[in-house]
Amino acid sequence: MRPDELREVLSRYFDGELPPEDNAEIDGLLASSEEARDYLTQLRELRNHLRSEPTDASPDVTGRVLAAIAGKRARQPARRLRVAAAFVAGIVGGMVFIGLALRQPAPVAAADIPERVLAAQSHVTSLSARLQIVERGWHPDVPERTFTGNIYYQAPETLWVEIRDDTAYPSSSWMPNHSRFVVDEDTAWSQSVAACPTEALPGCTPSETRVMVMTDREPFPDASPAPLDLIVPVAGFSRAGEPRLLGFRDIDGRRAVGVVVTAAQVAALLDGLTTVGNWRDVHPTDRVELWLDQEALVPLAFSAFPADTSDRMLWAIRHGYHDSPDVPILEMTWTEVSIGDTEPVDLPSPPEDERAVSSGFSDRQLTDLVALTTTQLPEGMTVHRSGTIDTESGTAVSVASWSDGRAWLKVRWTQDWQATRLFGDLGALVREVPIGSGIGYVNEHGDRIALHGDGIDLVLVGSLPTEALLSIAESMDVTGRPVPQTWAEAASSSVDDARSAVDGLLLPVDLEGFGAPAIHVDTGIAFLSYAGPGNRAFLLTQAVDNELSPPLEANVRGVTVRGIDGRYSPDRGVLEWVEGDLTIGLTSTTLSLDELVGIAESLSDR
Amino acid sequence: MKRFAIAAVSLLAGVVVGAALMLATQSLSSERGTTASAPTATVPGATPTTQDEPVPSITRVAPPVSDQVLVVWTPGGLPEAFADRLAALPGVTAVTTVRSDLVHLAESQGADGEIVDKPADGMVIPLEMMAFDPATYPAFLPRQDSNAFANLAVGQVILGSTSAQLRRLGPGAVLTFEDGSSLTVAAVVDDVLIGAAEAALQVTEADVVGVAVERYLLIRYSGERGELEGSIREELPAGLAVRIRAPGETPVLRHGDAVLPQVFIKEQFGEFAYRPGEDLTFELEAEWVDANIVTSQVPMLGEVKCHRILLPSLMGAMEEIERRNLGFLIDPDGFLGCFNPRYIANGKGISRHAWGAAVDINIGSNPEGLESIQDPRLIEIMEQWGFTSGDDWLIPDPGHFEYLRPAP
Repeated sequence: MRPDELREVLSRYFDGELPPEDNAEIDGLLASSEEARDYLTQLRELRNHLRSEPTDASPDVTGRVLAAIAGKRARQPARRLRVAAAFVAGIVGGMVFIGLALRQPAPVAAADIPERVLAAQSHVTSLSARLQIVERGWHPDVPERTFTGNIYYQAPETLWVEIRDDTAYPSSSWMPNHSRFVVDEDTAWSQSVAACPTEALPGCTPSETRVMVMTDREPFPDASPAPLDLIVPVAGFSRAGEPRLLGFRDIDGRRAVGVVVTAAQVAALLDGLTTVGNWRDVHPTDRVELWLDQEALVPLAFSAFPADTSDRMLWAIRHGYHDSPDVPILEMTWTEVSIGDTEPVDLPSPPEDERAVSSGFSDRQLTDLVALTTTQLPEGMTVHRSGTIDTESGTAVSVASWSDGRAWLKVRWTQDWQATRLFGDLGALVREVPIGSGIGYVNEHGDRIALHGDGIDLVLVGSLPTEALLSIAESMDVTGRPVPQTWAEAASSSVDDARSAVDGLLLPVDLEGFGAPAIHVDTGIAFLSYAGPGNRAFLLTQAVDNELSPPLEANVRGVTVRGIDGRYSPDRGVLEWVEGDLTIGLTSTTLSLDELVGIAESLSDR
Repeated sequence: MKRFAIAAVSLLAGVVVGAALMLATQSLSSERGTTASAPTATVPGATPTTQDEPVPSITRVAPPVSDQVLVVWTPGGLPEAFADRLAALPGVTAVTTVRSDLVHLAESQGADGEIVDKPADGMVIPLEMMAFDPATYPAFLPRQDSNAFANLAVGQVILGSTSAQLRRLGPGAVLTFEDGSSLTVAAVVDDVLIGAAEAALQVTEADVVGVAVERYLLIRYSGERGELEGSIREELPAGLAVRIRAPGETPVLRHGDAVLPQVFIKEQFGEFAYRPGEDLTFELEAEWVDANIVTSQVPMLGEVKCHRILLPSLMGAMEEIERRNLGFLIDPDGFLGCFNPRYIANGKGISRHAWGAAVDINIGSNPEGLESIQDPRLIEIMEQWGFTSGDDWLIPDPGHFEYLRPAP
């Protein structure tokens, strides 16, 4: 029997898949030897351990087993037993040998991965890699597409992603999905085919590629961000709970640690590759197996599997996809990865005849760093770009930015803010927090802090953890004041406010993977918005009311939640029920129904 | 010696197998991961939340509610004081009137005051705006959404989620209209809560931005639906057609549900700006036309100018008609084209022809307003390829076929 056949037999033996007659020899040993049974138990435990928590050493059971077998020898002179004993000892020895040979650096604890990803961003100053992509289910006539490409990065914000479509299409009427995306500090441009709905392919794809050019780009803009999660997936692990560990493996000579996340969690990484060009969609609840370089936390492999839920199946039907939960729909691999010693390259320039859209930013050495004179930055942060923006609305906005590797920080401020809401576009719900002797406002995702100061309004935004941003905000020479009562954010509330407004308010207990909620109370209704990593988020609403309103949408189904008949609208992502005198709603477009049910079960008035 | 040799060979085989096993288990630790579940919100005592396990809590019955809802509309707008008459019917517990009209967006600014959309001089972006009564409309909404409507202030507007995505706007953004009036976005809500309009404002401001037509009513009632429907029909002027729908019978409770709301047409075919003309036609922005409108030879119809996304469906339908030897069902002279930038006949909306998302076939024998004499086989094939036929509209337009859904 060849070693690979033996491996298969043993594997099947451990899994209980061998027919009884094939187990006879090993069964004979097991029947007579307690130590052998212990040994097999340890093997099973070892495998289970490796499935969930990789180890860097195999258990040394050789001595015990050998001793046990030696002890049996006098009573079991059978040749078969000697052979089996030698065989088992060999197995143990082989495992120990390989275990030692593959001994790796200290293993990464799953709980530490989010923190390590955030920390790693400061250490990645450059990167180059080759990309291999396999996409499945894009179109029934083209079940699989393959791509190769390159990624080049220089910190903090220079990036070039080049994708070449190697697919053999059924005919020349199918346009290959070549794409190029370049960010060169103040210029960003892309070239790709136009996106098309599945059912209109291939006829609807224009034969000419589309070029979009943006100039005078401010550093780290909201409108056209560089997809930096392709380098280190910071957005995907900010506020993340302990991920499920897949294990360790080598990818193109690099030691990788694997975790299971959802597509919503790593949306920034996914968008980085698929924003330009004509790609299939991935559902937010799809399972993603993400392999990161164990030391640098750079992505090395990514596989997205369809979530196995009825809602996801319905979504696939609507999109014309024929997905199977066991078959990955998108696989990406980074190979020939070079980190930190990448030679600078000449970035391609946009075609000269293409019309560029100016974002109105001018690089300038700012002399009026009003708010920033006392700012204490994290160690390693150095000045990046600064300047002013000529807005069409006439509001004068100044910008300063700093970076440390892929990590970045930006302050935007204005001294003539006229609107009746916070400067900085923090979104609908914000959290009021004490900052020094004043107060500030944090957005739901915790990556944006606004201060409404005396004669100045500013927003601090960056890839750093919320706590770091708060610390930086506190060091600024600006004392945040409460916003005027007429501003939208004046209705920001605390948990105590929500409890006062809604008697018997229920809150999630020990919720992991989500930050503190942004709360808003409005005439007897409490809104609590929880944001997790990437796009994972949900809204909890509660009001004193004892009946649900009639549903307006067609697709509504009954769900038992907390032992109560509730209902779920998959189109809106709303789970709602009446409990006592409360109507309760959980809304999310990125969490599955079973996750919402899980959160609902944890609600408590404690 | 032989025994030793056998044992040595066994030991060696074991070493090989052990090494292989160790490698295999290390590999398995990753490969087995392919069956692992996605992370879930970790909460103690929670219902099992892995995606590998079925959710045990799904039942077939939604919780009962005391009232049911109907939407009622008549072509071209509602009869005068219709809502008041229906409110007096037995079993009716609440009625609200919804207006809807085409308005012209001239500019939009994000929450930070920066320009997001500003079409070229003289051009505007068409928006379907609905207007609601803040006193009566919230009774039809989920409790958590009702305040956003009840408390919407003068000068504020609510965006539907698809519209917000198209507009790239959120709360705090400002919409400026053709006449110079402005509205600030107060909230973004699910499309279904504003009848899949693009934006909603309260009715006291409707006239300011030109939202005049009362399109449909929402009715809450208890009791027998059939009885109520009969009573509703009795309240109508003689000969006026009416549609009455309940949730589940139509994708969104709104008027004109045979066609896709404009916001979903924009989502599928893109949004353009245009320069209104003197008559029912207008000039589209050239960039949008260049990027989306294509000309192609289509069986039976000849040269056709359509949206690139619609063309494969039209091609598929015509090829099928040809394949089934039903070409005689198409009158080449009765084909009035696909792309045609114009309003609908009453000027109160943008024709789907402006997107190149509709075709007129056999129009000579099937004029608007008359009963259809289209062959059912033609309608069946067109519907199979994702078109909706105007043959059973309240005011029939049997020669008209427009995009409704993706082709199979």
